[in-house]
Amino acid sequence: MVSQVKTTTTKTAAMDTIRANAVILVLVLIIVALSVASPYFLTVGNIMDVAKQASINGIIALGMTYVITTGGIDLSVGSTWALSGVVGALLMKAGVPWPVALLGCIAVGSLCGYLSGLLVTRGRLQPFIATLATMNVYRGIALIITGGYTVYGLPADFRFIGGGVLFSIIPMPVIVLLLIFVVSWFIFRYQVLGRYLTAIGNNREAARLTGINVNRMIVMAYVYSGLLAAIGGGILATARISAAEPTIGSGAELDAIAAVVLGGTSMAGGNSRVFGTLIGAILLSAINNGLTLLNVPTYYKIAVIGLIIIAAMLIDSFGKETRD
Amino acid sequence: MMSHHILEMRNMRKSYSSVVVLSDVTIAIGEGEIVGLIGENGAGKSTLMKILSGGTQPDAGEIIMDGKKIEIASPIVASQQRIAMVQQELSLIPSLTVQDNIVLGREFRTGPLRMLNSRRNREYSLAAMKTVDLDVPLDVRVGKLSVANQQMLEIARNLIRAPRVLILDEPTTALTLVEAEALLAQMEVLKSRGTSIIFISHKLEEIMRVSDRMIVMRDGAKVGEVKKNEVTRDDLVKMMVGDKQFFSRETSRRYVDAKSARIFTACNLRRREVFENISFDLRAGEVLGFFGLKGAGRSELFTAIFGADHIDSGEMILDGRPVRFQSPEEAIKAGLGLVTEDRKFSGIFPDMDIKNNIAMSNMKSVSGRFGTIKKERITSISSSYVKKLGVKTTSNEQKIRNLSGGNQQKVLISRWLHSNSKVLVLDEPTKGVDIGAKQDIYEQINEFSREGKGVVVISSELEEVMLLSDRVAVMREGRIQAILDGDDINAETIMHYAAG
Amino acid sequence: MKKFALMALLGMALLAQGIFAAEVEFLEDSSGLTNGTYLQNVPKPSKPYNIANITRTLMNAHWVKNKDGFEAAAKHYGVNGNVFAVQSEADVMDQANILDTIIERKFDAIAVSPITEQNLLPSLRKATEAGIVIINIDTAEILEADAKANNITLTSFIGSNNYEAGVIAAQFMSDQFGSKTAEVAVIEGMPGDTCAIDRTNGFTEKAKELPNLKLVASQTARWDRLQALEVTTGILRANPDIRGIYCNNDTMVLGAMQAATDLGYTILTSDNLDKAGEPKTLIIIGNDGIPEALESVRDGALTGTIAQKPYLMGYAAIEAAIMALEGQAPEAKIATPIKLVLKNDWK
Repeated sequence: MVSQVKTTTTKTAAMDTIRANAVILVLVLIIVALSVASPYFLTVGNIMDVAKQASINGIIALGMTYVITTGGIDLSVGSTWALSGVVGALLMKAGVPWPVALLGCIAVGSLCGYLSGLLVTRGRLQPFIATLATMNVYRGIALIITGGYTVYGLPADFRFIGGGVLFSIIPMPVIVLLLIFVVSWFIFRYQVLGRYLTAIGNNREAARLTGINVNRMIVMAYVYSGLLAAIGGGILATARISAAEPTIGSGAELDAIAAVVLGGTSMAGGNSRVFGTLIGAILLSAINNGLTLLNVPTYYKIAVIGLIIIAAMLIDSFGKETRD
Repeated sequence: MMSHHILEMRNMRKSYSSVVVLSDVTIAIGEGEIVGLIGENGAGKSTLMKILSGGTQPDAGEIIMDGKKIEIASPIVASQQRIAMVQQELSLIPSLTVQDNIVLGREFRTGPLRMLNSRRNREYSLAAMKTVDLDVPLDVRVGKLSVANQQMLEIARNLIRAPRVLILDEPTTALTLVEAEALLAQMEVLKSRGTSIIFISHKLEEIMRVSDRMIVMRDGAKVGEVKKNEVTRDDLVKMMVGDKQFFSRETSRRYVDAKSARIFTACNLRRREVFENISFDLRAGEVLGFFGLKGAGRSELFTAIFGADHIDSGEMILDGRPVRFQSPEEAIKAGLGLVTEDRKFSGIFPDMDIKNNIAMSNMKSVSGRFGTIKKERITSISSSYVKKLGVKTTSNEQKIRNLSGGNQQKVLISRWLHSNSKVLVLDEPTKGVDIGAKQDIYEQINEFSREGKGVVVISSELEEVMLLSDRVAVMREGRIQAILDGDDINAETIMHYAAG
Repeated sequence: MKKFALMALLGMALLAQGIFAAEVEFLEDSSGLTNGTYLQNVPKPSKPYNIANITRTLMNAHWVKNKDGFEAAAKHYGVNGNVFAVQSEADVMDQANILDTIIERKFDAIAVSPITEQNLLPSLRKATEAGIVIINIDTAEILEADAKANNITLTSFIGSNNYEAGVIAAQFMSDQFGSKTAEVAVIEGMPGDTCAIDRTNGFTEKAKELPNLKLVASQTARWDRLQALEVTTGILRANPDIRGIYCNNDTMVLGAMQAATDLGYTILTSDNLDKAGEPKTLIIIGNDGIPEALESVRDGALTGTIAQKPYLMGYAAIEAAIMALEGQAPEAKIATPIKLVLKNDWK
C-alpha cells in the first residue's frame, strides 16, 4: 500500500492569510502610498473620517453579502435607502418620537427586501431583473411621497446617531458598522442560516433536495439586505446629513457590490467573505478620501478609482491561482 | 511490449496542494494499440490523462512523441499534436445544436465576411456522426438529446478530427448495453486504422475484452502492467484495491422476513406521462431494488415521492400514517432520504467542506439555541462518518470538490445516515465509483438495513441489484412490470421484464 | 399618517417660500418687472393665444413660482395660459405623454421644462412639425445639437446664466477678503453636467483673474449632500487654510456647511463679514436658493446662496411666446436675474 505523501510546503499562516485576503494587501499598499503622498492622510481625524465614510457603504455591502452569497444580487439597496430614510424622516416631522420613527424606517427597509425576495422566489424572476424593477419602484415611491422634496429639520437627538462620537473619538456610524459586522460574521461562521445561504449559492438544487427551505432562506437574505440598507442609509446617512432626500443613494448598489467583490466574495455565490466586505468598504473609502486630499481632478479621480479596483481584483485573481 | 512507441509519458509527478496524485508514473503506447487504464477513483488516471490532453501541467516528468520531447502547454497544443480526449464530464454546449457543437472551434467559413458555410459545416457534421453511426437531427439542441446520444456525439466530434491518440475516459458509463457494444466495435475499427487509444473504464469486462495491454494504477502510482488474456478479472481487482475485504452475497445477511413491519407503502401513484399504477411496499430491514433501462421512470418516481416533483394521484403511507409531501423539506422531516443520481447537479455543495456537506440535511443536530453551530459537534460527527465509510481525505475541512467521485458519494451517503432517515432511497449509488468505494457503499447499505430501516436502491447495474436486493421491482415505461423475490431474482427474469 | 406628514411638509415648504418672498426684496414676485412687463417691446397679442407650460412637479416651490409667473403674465397680456405638471421628478414618460396630448389640442405655443435633456425630444419634434412655437425654460436646457438632430426649432431659452453665478461667487469672496490673500475651493456638481461645468468655470476663471483668490481644491460631490459632506471634510483636512467655498448647488452647500461646522469652522454671515480671511472662518456660498438653504442664510448658518427668479422665467415665457407669434424674434437666450442673497437681505 502506497501511503499518501504530504508535501511539506513551508507556507506560514500569515502568508496564507494574505493570499486568502488579497484585499488586505491592497489596503495596506494604498494606505502606505497615500500616507507618503499626503501628510494629512495618516492623522487621527482623517482616519476617523475614512472609517465614518466607510460605514454607510460597509453596512449596505454587508447586507449585499447575504444576497450575493445565495447567487443573487440586490440592485434596489440605494432606493431602499432613500425610501426608508424619507419615511423615517416624515414620521419624525409628523411628531412621532424618533426612536419609533427609526423602527418605521427599519420596517420599511425590511419590507422592501421582502418584496424583492418574493419576486425572486415566488415570482421566479432573475434577481438582476427583479431588483432592477424594485429599484425603480422604491425610488418612485420615495419621490412621490415627498414630491421630490428634501425632508429636513430633524430632532437633534436623532442626529447624534450619525454625527456623534463615543469616547470622544469613535464616530457612532463606525460603532454601528462594527456591531453589524460582528453579527454578520457570526451568522456566516457559526449559524445555520449562514451555512444554508452558502449551500444555496453552491448548489441550489442540492440544497432543495437536502431539505433546506430554499425560498424562505433567499427571502431572508433579501430582507437582511433591505434591513441593512435602511440602517446604513435610511438611518445613519439621514442622521449624518440631518436630512432625508428622495434622490439620495443612487449608485449605492454599485459601491456596495464593489466592496463585496473586492472583499473576495464570488458573484457566482456559494462563498462569502464578511471580513473581506468590511475591508473592501474601507478600501473604497480610503481611496476616495485620499484622492480628495490630493485634490485629484474629478475626471482623473473617476478613472483612478476604476483602475485601483481592477488592480485589486487582479491581485486577488492571481492569488487564487497560486492557491489552487 | 510494442516495438514502436508513438507516445511515452516518463516519470510523471503531480501534487495538488499537499496531496500527491501522481508519483513517478511512466507509461507508453504503441501505434494502433488499445491500452486499458484501470484503477480506483482517485488512483491518478484522470490526472495523468489531463496532463496528456493539456488540461494541467505536471510538476515533473517528460512527454515523448515520435521520439521527440514535447510540451503540452494547453488543450490547443494537444489538439495540434492530434491528441484527443473524450472527457467523463461532457464538454458539449447544451443550448447549441448538434451541428454547432460538432463544428465548434473549426467552423467552415466563406466569402469576404467570413460567413458560416452551412453546406460544408453540414457535410462535416454528417461525416462526424457517421464515425459512430449516430443518427440524430443536426438542428436539434444538444440539451434535448439523451445522455447516451450526447456521449456518442462527444466521441464523434473528436473522431472526425482523426486523432493519433484518442483518450476515452469512462465512455460507456452513460450508455446502454447495445450502445456500449457499438462503441467497443468502433474502437476496434479505429485501432485497425492505426489510431492509438487509451481507454479508462470501471467496467473490467469491457477493458479486458478490447485492451491489448492494461495498466493498473493505485494511489498515484503504477502498480501493474499486463497483456491481454494474461490475467483474470479477480487478479485485476486485487491489483486495483490491494488487500481489501470484499462484499459478496455470502457475507451479506438478510434482515427482513414476513413478520417485519411495513414502513412505507405506495398505492396507485400516478404522474401524467411519467409514471402510473405504481404500488409497492417496503418492510423494515428490507433492501428493495428498482431496476429498469434508461427512461423507465425510476428516478422520476422517487423524486416525486420525495416531494421534489408533483404527483397527480395515489396514496402513500409512511409508518402507518398517510403522507403526501409538498417539498423535500417535509419528506425529510417525515424520515425520507434521497441520494440523487447526479452528484454534481443535485448532490454536493462543491465549495463547502466535508463536514458541512455531511451535516447539511440535519443542521439541528449540530446546533444549539438560535441556530448556532457547535463546532466540536459538527467536527466529531463528520469525522466519525469519514472514518466509518472510509472517505479518503486529509481532513474533513477539505472541500468536497477536491474528492474523487467515490469519496464524494460516501460523503453524500453519510449526509443521509446522519439525518436519521427511516427510508433511504439511493439512486445509482455506485455510478462512476471505483470498486473499492463500491464495496464500502454496499457494506453501508447492508448496515442500514440491519438497523431495521428500509432501503430502496435504484440501479442500472444488474449485478448490483441482484447482489443487494431482497426483492427487485422492475420498471418499464413508467410502470412496475414485476416485483421479484427469491429465485426469480436472476438476470434472465429481470431482463425479461425490463426489456419487455 | 404618511399623508398627514406629507401635507405638513408641503405646507411648510410653500409657506417658507412665501415668507422669504415677503422678507427679501429680490425674491418678491414683482421685483424685475416694470409696469407689468419684463421683456422689452412685447407687442399686444392680436388674439387670445393658447399657450401651454409643461413644467415639472408642482410639489416643488421653484416650479410653483414658475407657474405663478406664467399665469400672471397670461392674465396681464390677455392670453390663455395653461400649466401642466407631472406627479414627481421621476415621471419622465408622463411628461412626454402630456406634451403629446398638448400637441393634439393645437396650442399656439408651448413652454417646456424637460425633466432631462432628452425625455421630450421625440415629442418636441412633433410639435415643431405642427408649427408650434417652443420655448425652453430653465434646467434642463435642450442642447443645440440635440435640437438640430431631431429637427426641433427652439425659439428661446429662458433661464439663469450659470457661468455668471460662478463669477458672482468669486467676486463676492474677493471683495470680502480685500487686501488679504485667501485659499478657496469649489464643490462641483455631477461630472459632465453642463450646469455644473458652467458654474465651476465661472468661479474658477474669475478666481484666476482676482489676485487675492487662490483656488486650491476643486472636487465633485455629484449634486449629493452626503458626498459633499465627505468631500468637504477631506478638502478642509488637506487645506486647513481655505477661507471660502463655493458649491455648485444648495443640496451640496448644506453638506459642506455641516462639514465645516463639524471641523470647528465659523461660517461668516453678513453680520461678521469683516472677519473674512481670519483663521478658522469660512465664507460658504451655494447656488439656487432652495428653501432649506434660504432658511440657513436667514438663521445665520450659511453665508449666502445665489438665488434665481423662477417667477420671471414663467413670466418671460409668455412674453417670448407672444413676440414669436406676432412675428417678432425674441432673444435666443434670455437670462433671468440672479442674486447672491445674504442674511442682511432680510428686511
